[in-house]
Amino acid sequence: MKPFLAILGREIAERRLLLLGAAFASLFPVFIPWLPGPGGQDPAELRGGMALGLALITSALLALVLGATVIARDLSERRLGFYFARPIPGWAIWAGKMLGAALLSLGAGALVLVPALIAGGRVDASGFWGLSGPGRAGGGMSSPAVLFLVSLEILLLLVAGHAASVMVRSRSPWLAVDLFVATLVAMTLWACDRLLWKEGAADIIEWGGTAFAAISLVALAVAGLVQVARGRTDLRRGHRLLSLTLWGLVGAAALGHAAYALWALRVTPRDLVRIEEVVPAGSGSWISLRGNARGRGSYSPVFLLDIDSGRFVKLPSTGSPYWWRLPAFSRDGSRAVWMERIGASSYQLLTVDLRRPEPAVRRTNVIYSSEPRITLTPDGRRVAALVDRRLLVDDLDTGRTLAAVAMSIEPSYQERLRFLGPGRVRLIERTHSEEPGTPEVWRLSTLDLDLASRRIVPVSRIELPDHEWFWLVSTDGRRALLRRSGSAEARIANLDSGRTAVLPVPTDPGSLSFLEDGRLLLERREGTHQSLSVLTDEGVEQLHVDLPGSRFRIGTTLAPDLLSVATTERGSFQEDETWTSWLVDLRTGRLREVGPRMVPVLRFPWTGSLTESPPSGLFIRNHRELLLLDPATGRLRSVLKGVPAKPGL
Amino acid sequence: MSLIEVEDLTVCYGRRTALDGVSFAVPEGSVYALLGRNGAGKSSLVRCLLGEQRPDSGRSLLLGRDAWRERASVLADVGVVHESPDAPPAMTATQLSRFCSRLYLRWDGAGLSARLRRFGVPENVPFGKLSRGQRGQVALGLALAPEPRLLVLDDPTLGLDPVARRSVFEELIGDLADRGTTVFLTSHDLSGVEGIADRVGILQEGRLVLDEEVETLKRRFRRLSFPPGAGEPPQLADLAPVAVASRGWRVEAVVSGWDEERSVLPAGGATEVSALTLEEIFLALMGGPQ
Repeated sequence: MKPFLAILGREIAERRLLLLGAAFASLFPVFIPWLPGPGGQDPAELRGGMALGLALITSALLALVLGATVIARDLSERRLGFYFARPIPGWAIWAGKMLGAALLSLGAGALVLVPALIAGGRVDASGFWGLSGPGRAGGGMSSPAVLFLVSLEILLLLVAGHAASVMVRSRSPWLAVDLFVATLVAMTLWACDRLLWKEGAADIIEWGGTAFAAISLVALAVAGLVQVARGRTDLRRGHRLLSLTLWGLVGAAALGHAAYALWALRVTPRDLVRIEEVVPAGSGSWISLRGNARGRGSYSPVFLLDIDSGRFVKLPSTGSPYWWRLPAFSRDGSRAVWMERIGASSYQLLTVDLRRPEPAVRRTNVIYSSEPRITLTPDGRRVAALVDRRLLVDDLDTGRTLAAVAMSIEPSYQERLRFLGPGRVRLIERTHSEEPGTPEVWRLSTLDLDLASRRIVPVSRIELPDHEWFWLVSTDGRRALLRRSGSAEARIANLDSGRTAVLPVPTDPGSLSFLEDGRLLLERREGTHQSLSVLTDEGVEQLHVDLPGSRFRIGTTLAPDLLSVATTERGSFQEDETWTSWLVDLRTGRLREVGPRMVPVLRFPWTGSLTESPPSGLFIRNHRELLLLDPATGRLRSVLKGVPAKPGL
Repeated sequence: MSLIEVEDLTVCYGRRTALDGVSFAVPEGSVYALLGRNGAGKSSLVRCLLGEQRPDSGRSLLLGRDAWRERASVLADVGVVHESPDAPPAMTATQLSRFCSRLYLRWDGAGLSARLRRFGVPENVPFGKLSRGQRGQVALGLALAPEPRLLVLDDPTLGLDPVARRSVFEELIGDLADRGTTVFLTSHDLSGVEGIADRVGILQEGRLVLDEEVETLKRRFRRLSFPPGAGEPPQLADLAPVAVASRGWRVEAVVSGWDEERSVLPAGGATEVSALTLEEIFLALMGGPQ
């Protein structure tokens, strides 16, 4: 230990002028508020920000320069023999010199920072580039934690500077090996991260990057140590040892990262530890689901899964518009469509033919220049999309564009599309008029595109006075429910005729939606009391069902008169274990418990979803098991069982 | 006991063999001089000896311990002066002495200081600003200050003027007399070496071609000078000639098998016999038989 301390002390003493320079530089941030400038900034922030920037630059530069010189220059100028000719272990030479350089680098940075802090400077490093990420899950990192990580990055510069300097100074052919392997490692990481990025696995990139940086830091330190301790005064031999150690460790880390990335992307539905969303096809046994998988952080792969056979298709999971979270099924369940971003803002339509024995993702030649609103024909052969003031209809079997009609509207994500039949597309758009001097008008316009004539036909226009109206279009596109924000007023609209009728709903209309058979479902929450009502399309209450608990969620209709719901006394949406599922008999109003700790597939799969889920007997237990209820027998069958989540994964 | 034992040491740089199965030993209390032309492998051998370089095969033992594996602990009893005296250039002799004193159990700082004063080396001038001779004196002083059992000197007089060279050897002789330190040195200064070495080894193209006590060596080498008319006498072959050359009207031969009592002179009384210096023996050996 004595030799190590002797060298450490010597290194610091020999370069103590650097600390003096840093002390002088530290005065600049202290006095900067009084220097001429644009002004208007908080002096505390100005001091702190300037001191932090200066400290980081000082530390980083010193780390690079000292790393490149303290050992490598002595070696190349044959001065390291002085230490090796004395009873000093090789590790002590390396550690004493490098730790001395590290303390000088970090100490100089601290010296720059401290006077500004004493003078009242406010240093906020919590949002520092590249280091806010790891703390996201934990609610952000504190400045000291970020500064600690910055210190590690500075140490990385130090050991990297040493390694690079040895490689260059040795003039050995191993430099070619270094460049080759470094390129190989960079290409491997880039290829992996590109794949992960396309899949939206940001957590894995972040974890991989952090782990790789940590291993690189250790590898560079160990390689430097081996080079000095085993290569001793022979620079070329030391370079060989350094390269072998460094690339052995870094190469293994890169391969490990690649293996982890490939493993992470080879995820199956059975790897899910948390099922987030499920949407069933309108017919058949295919469902789409999304969730988090074991050991993959927040990466949320999307699958199409045949719950009868267990076959599945993993879909590209990112690049789609934010509201496009799961694939859309055709009503007959024969096809699923999905979008993938290509380029800056374009989207390519992908389809999966679910009738095939081995369904696979097929890229179509349908490319939209911006985020589209789309709808499918019930058989999934045609897709209509509203993109950039144009209504497009494509045939997915032939790849032909059947219509491309210019529209006068500006897409505002307040439009709905429905196929009324294979040859007619309905567009319902909401506009909001606020012309000066005229009363505020809320307007719902219905237009039909006739594919035979490729003409737009105005169908109806509904105008309502002022205020926001919540609106919901029926699956067939012929009716709409309108509910006035903040009041008890609700209406039902016939989109073919444009006529509306007031629905005699109670004071708080809650949420209104269409049932499969055309009746209306009214959800009511009044204090701790909650209930459901089934209304005729004239708004006459046919059935009233009181629900237990204080919160509820609506599932789908399993059979014409059977509705699934889930209730809880206290739970949040994230805690499935507090929810109990029920079946509501829509004829008698009788409640039958399905089971605790589970929720049904929801009527609207996520907040803001514009499409209702079709009827389904699927339930999700504890976020990780999918169960299918047979309404006839009341028995539940497990169709997918994910793995138990481990803490931290 | 041998303080240095080199066993079958081989060092290769790529396809070139720098040391080829070198073996020798240096007994305690002796002064061993390793001689050889530039590129003969002396520096490689010294690096292996000091544990700075790992041999491809064989091993070197210092004070009975493996120099590569136990370098740091072995060097506590070994003083070293490198071919180019090196030390951190910003450190003065005083600072170097203070630094080194923390590395050894014994440290004769006063002796070092006195030595430097004796040779007029300023103690508060950075090492990098000293002349080459002064740096050599500082390096030698630092090597001797821990009172080592073994001193390894890699061409310590390289680049020194004759006065400085002489002072280095005088210093060594003084210390040897005082302490009985074992010395291993390489040098091109054969006249200086001759005055202090007990034993010499000669390296030629990586092979140790000679390893012998200086006195024995000098006893068996002779220069014979005889008239040319006599032709090459048959007895010369028995004396193991190393070099034979014409010098004007006489023929000169250097023989390595001379025996003062038994050898028969070629050409009888016309032959002159003279002893050789170490340098002459080295030159004759390096020139090869003619």
